[in-house]
Amino acid sequence: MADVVVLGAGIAGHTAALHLRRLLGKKGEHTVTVVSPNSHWNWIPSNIWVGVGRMDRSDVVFPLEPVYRKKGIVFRQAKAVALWPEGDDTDARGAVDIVYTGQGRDGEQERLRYDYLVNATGPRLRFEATEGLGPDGHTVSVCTADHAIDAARALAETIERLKAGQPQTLVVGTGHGTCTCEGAAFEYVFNVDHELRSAGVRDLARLIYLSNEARLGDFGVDGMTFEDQGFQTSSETWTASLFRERGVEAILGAHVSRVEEGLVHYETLDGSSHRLGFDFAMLLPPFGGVGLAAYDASGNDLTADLFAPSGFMKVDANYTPSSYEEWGPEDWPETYQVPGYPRVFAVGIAFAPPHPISRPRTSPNGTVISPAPPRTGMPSGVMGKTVARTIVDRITQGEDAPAHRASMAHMAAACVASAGTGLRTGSAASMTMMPVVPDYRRYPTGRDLAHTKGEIGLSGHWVKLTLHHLFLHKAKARLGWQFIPE
Amino acid sequence: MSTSPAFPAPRGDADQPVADLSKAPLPTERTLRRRKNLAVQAVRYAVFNARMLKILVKGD
Repeated sequence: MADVVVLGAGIAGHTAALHLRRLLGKKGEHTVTVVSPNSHWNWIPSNIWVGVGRMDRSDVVFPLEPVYRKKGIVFRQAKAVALWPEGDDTDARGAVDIVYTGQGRDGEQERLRYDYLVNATGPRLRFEATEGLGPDGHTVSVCTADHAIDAARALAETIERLKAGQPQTLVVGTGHGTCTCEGAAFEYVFNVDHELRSAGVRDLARLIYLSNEARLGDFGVDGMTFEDQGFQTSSETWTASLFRERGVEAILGAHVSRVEEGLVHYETLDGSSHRLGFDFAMLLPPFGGVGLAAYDASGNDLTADLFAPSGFMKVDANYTPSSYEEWGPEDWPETYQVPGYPRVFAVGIAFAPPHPISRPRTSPNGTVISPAPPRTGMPSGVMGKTVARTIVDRITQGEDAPAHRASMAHMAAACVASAGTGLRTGSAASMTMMPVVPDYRRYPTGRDLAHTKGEIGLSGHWVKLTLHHLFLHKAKARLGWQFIPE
Repeated sequence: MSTSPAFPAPRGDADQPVADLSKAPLPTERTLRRRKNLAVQAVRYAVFNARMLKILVKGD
């Protein structure tokens, strides 16, 4: 009998748990336990539409417990606080300390034993990295469904002021120089533009995209090159066209250092400081690890061995410091196994990337202004399934069974960035890229041009809406869920 | 970089280091129509979904 514990119930953790249960058999002797501080699953990509008031919270979240009960997965509504990968003085099996956040056991602590552990804890939203940033400060966010509800309310108030004839400045972007998920900010700014046009108030609004990207279309993946009508073009040209067409201004290479009521302080890559007034601001926070500690069997602290300073977990990546020119696809992890601990894995946002994907940049003042690599959505799901397959093989075939592999340097990804809703009026920028991490030794442009494409149009909105319904169906483990790709 | 036109803002600097997008290509009227044309977009929808499936198989 084997006990598998999955920490986190986001895209990576939930996918891993469902596949583990499916592959191990529902009525087998093995247990699959999910530990998550949240009682609900959230399809985060659709938070963008909640954030402009086009969807309700109930459209993007559902309770986890009924799904896990149906599938024979044990659910602990709790947060993990410490790992004991070598066991402790009472039991040599690995363990994880959890603190309940629900199920009527708030604050209660428990030490769960495991044979295999998947760390899919996702990000900690580090609003505190920038003074005044976030829902407890002076800006809104769309990182959670509840944040998005507040964002929609603030946007509606801004639109009301515009309707009353008051010019408004709206700022959307990243709230720190090291943020990731620029695609989400990109989506939100064009959805805000769409809402302002629908309300007939666009001419009174100044809409600004404030980003840590040095170039438009970087998206934390160093941009993309596409082929279009016989020519090579870049994601920079492609997105700049959209910004110009929609009248959205862009401030690039920006690190937000402080936010006051109605005022953003930021530094740009040339080292200069600026102040930008706003009436509405949605700025994403930087991410960090959730702050797990780790101990050996004697209680000695292993945290610095297992985790990077960012709090993300070290896996089978090459963490040797090197320059942008020295980076290679082989630096990126393939199995997501933690070195020295073959029964522990980290997937999704929880694993520590070896380095950024975009060229690192620093201002003359030493401020790092460089997007962190995205590892959400499709890659997260693929990693979760890959690790589930490895664990199942090792349980059923023995510990020497080879690990399954899914490197972001080989993996493809699709990204559909909504640019407005509506079955006939919607639009989206739809991109596919392969691989996610560019490989300039294999491809002159870093990626396979046959599979790296971009287009803008109404069909992208339909794709995004289709994905919304498909992934909710999959996450609810409804009929045929396993046939829906990650 | 260029300086953005003056626009009423509650506070802050009058000039911001706004990126100069004046050289970015604008879509033609035909392109804009294609982006909204239901028949064209139905084809693009099918093509994009097929492409996603293809990269999933090839890139996994």
